[in-house]
Amino acid sequence: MMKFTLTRLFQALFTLLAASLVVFVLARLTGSPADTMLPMDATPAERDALITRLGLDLPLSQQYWRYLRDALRGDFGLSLRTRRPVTELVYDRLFNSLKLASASMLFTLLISVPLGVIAAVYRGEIWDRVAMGIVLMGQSLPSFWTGIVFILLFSVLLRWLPTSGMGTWQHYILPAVSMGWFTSAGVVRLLRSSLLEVLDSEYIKLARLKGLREYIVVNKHAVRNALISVLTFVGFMYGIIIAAAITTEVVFTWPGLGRLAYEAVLWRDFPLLQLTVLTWASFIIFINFAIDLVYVVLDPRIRL
Amino acid sequence: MPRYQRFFHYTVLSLTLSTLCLVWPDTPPGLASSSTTPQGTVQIAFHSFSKERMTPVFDGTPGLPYHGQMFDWFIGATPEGQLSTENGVLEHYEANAEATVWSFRLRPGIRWHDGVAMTAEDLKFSIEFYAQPDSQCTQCGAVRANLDHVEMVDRATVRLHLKRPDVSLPAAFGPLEGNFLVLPKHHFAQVGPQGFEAQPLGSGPWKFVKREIGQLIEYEAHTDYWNVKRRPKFATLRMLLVPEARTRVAMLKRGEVDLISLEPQDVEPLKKEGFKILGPRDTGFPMLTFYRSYDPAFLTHKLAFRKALILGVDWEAVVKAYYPPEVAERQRGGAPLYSRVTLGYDAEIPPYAYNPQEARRLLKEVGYKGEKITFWNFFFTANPEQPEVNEVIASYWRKLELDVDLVTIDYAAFQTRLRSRPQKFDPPVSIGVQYPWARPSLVNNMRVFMLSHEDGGSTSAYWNPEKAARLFTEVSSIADVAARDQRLRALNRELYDEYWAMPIVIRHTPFAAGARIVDWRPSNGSPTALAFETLQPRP
Repeated sequence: MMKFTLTRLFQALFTLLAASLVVFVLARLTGSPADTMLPMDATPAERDALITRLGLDLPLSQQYWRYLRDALRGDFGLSLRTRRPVTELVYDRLFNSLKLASASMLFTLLISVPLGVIAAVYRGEIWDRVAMGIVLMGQSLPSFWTGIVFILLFSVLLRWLPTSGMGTWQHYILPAVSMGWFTSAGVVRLLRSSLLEVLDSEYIKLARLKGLREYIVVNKHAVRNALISVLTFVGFMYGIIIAAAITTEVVFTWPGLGRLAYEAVLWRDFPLLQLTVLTWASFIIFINFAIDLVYVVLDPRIRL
Repeated sequence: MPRYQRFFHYTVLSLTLSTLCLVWPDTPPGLASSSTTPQGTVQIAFHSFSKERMTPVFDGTPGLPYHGQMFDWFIGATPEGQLSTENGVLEHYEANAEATVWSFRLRPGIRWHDGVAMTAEDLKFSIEFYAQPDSQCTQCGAVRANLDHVEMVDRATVRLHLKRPDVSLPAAFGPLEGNFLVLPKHHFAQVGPQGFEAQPLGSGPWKFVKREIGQLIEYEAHTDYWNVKRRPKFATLRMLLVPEARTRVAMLKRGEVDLISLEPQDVEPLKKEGFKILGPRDTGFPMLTFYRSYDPAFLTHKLAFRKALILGVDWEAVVKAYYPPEVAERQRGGAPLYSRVTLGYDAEIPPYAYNPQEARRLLKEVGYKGEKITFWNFFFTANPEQPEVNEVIASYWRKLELDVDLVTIDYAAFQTRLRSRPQKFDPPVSIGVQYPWARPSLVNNMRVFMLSHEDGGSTSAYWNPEKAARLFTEVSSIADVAARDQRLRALNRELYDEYWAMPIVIRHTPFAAGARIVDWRPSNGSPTALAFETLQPRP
């Protein structure tokens, strides 16, 4: 177990380093902050002066070394746009994103587990098709589009929920549903196939022969085992949801990490973009690591 | 009179008087004047907060809607879009005969929001702050390059000594072309530039209350504001950052906000639903621009080729298809950079006509042999419709058998090409649609779009840099406004015949207002100096 943990930690550090290098280089290939920070009437001389002040005229390797050195000291720099510490900006937004992702994942589980079970138990029947149709629609429609449609329907026409922003529990519903609907397709399909496999296994057949009621066979014996494989996927999707929430956060004006990244890209705010991507990467790495550990605990058949 | 009758009369009389008291309005309708106490909150959903800085020195004109509400202008502007001392802190400004020394005299009785009196020291401090090397405001570079020093003459007067004549200097100090707002010297001394971001202080019609980065900013009415006509009618101004246009529209329809910034496609549907379309007019013009046309290796260096491209598009049809009247109208009155709010405007000059036959003839004349035309497809927040319009323009050119390559790029990436020395455009043709603001002085737009990089320009889109520099120097030195107008009028005709660029439309900046707002008088000519203090609530 110790060897496993250390290996994973080493892999995580290497992944983070690679992610920081990739985002550092790619961001700089897309343009210069001097072109977004300065007004339209700025002359090339003013542009050159700003580039020098920001240290962007140095060789890329030197810039990256400086960035790594400061980052190891916990100094990720100031936002080029707002001139506030990027750690402060990211910290505030990270928790907003976590809240939305949690609400979204809760919705995903609430809808996916029953639908997955129905689809498996009624395989090939109308309920199977209905369940798969619902989730496939969620996956086929882009979440920014469903978000806009939800706003028009539930906020403007029916006036049940607020259009956007963050504050009350009602503000969570539309963005969480539009994101959760999108991710539920994967969970339902996985749970369905996993459950079908379990339902065909010998111990389930034995349980049925023993005369147990079908709902006990399914809910107590089959679903519990089928959920183990789903758990990995759900955990992974939790990290993905946070990173993929850019459009949803923009549509619903949700002050999360996704919107922050969107603004950072528009402004070529390198320090902010770098820390946002690193935060996402760290989060996904951490979740995968945690899932691996939980998986070992849940499934004793796995030997490390 | 019997007792019961007397009782009945008293009862009727008191009931009548009570009813009258209840229904009598506090202020006669229509006279909700500036002296009434501001009430309620006006909420505005805005598409961008720019850099979200509170110090104008570090942001350009796009930051004005965010922080501009709490400051005063040196020189104000009328709703029609002309500079005016009426709405600024200067009661008088004038230049010497050579336009090399400008005197600014402060209006008496102006106080900062903390009660401290504004003096010429604040004016001097502000100007020097804007002219410092790391300032990033619109026109900061131009003023910095030409400012020799600022002299404080007395407690109310400063003099700006310039290195070269500049007749357009006041434009930088007003809301139509720059973002030079007056800053409090004493407060900067107390809190420092970084502290100012957390504790900003101004003298304008709104006082800062709070802000949340990426979300909102809130102001309260300055009820003792020196300019009585501009005292806010709402007690609170709350601006929300809502980047998605569909969400802004939904918020307005649901009554969550009172005013939203609009994209063109939303104008007609909202009008049909009864929302008012308001906002400043004549604010900018998307302009077809021929990059590196100063380079003889480019086909666009030739007048006939530029003319062919311009005559080859049915601009009237493009305008009709994409721009409702509240959003834009066909650009008239002369050459690129000229508009109704600029000097030298000539209403007699017609817009460029559609003439595909002539375009074909001109292409033949210049010997066009199917060379690739690179058409950079980008947009600004002010003209989100541009990529679609560009598709249509490209299709007109393809009908003329031109080989058009529409290259989608975001403006930040494009700017790297534009501002490099030399500009990174490959022959034979590079085209895009720039978005100059309708700067009334015209001189500042000449500098930005016509001058070469070496002469202080930033776009360098004019085909003859030497001529541009000569014209700029000449016009910048004509101190007399009437004489300058006359010279610019003559120049208008000359530039019009050169087809050096193509102003597609004169654009307005539309906003949609909900039922609580009856009127709004921002200054025409500026898309960002939005004067929210002039929002008039329903009585």
